[in-house]
Amino acid sequence: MSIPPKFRRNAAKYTEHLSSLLTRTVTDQPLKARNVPPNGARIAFRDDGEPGARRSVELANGLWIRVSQLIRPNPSDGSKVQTAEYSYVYASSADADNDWLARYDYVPEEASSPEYWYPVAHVHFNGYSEHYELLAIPEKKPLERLHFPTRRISLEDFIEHLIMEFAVPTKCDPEEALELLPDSREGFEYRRTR
Amino acid sequence: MERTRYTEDTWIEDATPQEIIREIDLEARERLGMTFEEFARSYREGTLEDTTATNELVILLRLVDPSEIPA
Repeated sequence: MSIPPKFRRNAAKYTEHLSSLLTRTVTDQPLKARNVPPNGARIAFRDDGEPGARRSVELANGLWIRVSQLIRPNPSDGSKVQTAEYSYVYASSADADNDWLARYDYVPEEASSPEYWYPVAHVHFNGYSEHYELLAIPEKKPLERLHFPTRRISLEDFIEHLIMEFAVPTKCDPEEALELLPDSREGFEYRRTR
Repeated sequence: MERTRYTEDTWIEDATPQEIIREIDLEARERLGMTFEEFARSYREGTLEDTTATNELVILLRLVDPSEIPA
């Protein structure tokens, strides 16, 4: 399928929108998209920093976040942007592979395989629970490997979670930051094509 | 007042599949101890563990046409 040139422009606009959600609230670091016609683009923080810490961004309270989103041309209208997959992570250090606390995943392309049993949108928690350890479960997996079902979340949801639960300092008044997120989220729900 | 003019290219850059493959190879080596070929093979075989690194690299892998991935 050839991709209308407008997809690139819309992908840039969408990336700018997501980036502004972050740079107006919790970080100065912008997002950037890498576009690979005709398959889509990957949105993430810019590739700065040391190997292993690429694309991890430190917030003002020492929490680190990573954002990775795959966007594709909408099958019905190739100029439109469709979120195909995301992974939103927060961690206690730049080493998000080991020091992550929670990871929100949305994997519809993976979930389309009959061999994939887990919910298409889910969250992983990297922690220890004495209560979980006490449970007798056959072939018990580590807690961090469990897939807790969620609805598909927006980046607005993710940012709001960071502010509300982790008291991430905001660039503007916290109430102002929390007010702009619902307005943007309404647009997200309206713009959803999948 | 100084103003910065942001262009479309501020937010997006074009890449070739080969550049994406090189990026996956670099990150897979750093984060998983795998080459791109090993990562792609493990993905096809369904043997990759569900981790932050795997998820992020699979997102990149989806930008590569299957014909570009070594068998």
